[in-house]
Amino acid sequence: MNQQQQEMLSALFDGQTSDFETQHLLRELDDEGLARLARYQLISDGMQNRLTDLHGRLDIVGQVAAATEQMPAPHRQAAGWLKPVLGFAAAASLAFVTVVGVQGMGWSPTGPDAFVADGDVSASQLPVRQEQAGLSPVSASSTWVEQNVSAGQPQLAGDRERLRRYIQMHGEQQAAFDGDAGVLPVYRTRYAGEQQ
Amino acid sequence: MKVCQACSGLLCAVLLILQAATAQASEQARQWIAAMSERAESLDYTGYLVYQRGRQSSGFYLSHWHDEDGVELKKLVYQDGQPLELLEKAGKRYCLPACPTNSRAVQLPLTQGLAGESTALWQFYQASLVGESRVAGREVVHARVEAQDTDRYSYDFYLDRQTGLMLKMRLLDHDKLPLESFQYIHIDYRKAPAAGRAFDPGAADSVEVPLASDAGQAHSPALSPAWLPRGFVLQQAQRLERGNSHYRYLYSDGLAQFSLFVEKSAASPAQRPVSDRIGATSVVSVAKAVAGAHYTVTVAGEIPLPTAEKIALSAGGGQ
Repeated sequence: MNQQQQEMLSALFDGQTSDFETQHLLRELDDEGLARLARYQLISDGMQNRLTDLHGRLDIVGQVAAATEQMPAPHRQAAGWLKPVLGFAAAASLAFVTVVGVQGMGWSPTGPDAFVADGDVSASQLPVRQEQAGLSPVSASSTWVEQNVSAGQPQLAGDRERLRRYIQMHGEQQAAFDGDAGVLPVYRTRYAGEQQ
Repeated sequence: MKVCQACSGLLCAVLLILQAATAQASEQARQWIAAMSERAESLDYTGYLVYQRGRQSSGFYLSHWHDEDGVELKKLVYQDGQPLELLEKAGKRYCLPACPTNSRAVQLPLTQGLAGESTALWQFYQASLVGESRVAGREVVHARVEAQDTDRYSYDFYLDRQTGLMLKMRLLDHDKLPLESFQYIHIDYRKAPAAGRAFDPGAADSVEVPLASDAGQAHSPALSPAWLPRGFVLQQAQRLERGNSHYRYLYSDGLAQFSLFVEKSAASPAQRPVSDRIGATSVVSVAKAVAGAHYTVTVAGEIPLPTAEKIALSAGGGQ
């Protein structure tokens, strides 16, 4: 699990991921990710004095100490959708048992908007997204130009460039296709390729 | 009692008349739209137009005419940004001052997508005549092609009442708010020489216009989406130039289109899922691990963002 994936997992635990990101993370979660998620919850419960009899029976207290030693907080960027890993107190209201449920049932720990992400996502379950409330960490507006990318957010700039290239390639493919949608792809390509 | 029966009969008659009128209007709208595609190719015209996407807008000069031998010519002149003129004749592209490396064929607005009697298209869209208006100083018929589900957008077409040419198009979201628009502000049907700099093929950069056959046969993606919006079928498959394991696929329902990019990686790509929307174009990119192989799957197209997300998530199995 690379640092990027660890950061995403932390964001998931903090409830900082969008519905779409949550779906994707839960689909891609492997055993290591699940174990890491459980350790996050364990540490959180310990810090919040929420350890219960159930934790005790499972030697949770000992595990908290061990996990705390073994699990330095992943370094994450403070800006944007990622927040410091120890800021997951907001998500600590979830019980340890819930984490067990996540592992066993594929629940999303992101709160009341969560839904089962295991192969049964219908269109009606997906929230209709407003342009200004986009799920993307890249941009919440309809135009590239309004996204301020500081030097401290190189990943955002990289993401933006990457998405721009895909839009440009999409326009190229449309224009090259014999049954295409017309001259509009040419305009779209131009926009996507411009520095703004 | 007799009064009630009479009222009931009258109501039924009115409903039948309304139903017939609606069906007739829908058929008329389809005829207008079908004619629009043919007129864009057969007519000679020049005009200035504005293209708007989200909060961005730009101006273009478009000229379409046939020479003495009946050969079709198209010229597009960018009116803002970096100067650029594109001219196409007999399958060749000429550019001033030089063709962009990624330049492709210039097609006329929505010419092929709605051409002919595409009955499949009308399973997913409902055509209707909204009314009349004026665009570029000319009387137009306002036709609407309304999406029948939330997986695609709707369209407004404003067609020249005299010639049938599309003078304005708006791509609408589910609240009927415009996401993208295309509109002539001036149109001239006389066969006039193209505006802009004098066309000199000898001095201009010239490239072959890629044809559809260049893209190869459509074949199923390596990571087929387990879910597609109704009516969308694979139209084209193309290997990206930058790698043997990078492909892009074009899907269409006959009007809307989206591209699916599948790129195989040697290792797990260190990227989080990202998405955005510019005007009507949504783009979603996710990393996928399937059978021990790592991929980046990206969906980009003129479809709603939730639809693009759902397609991307379903790539490689599952919905």
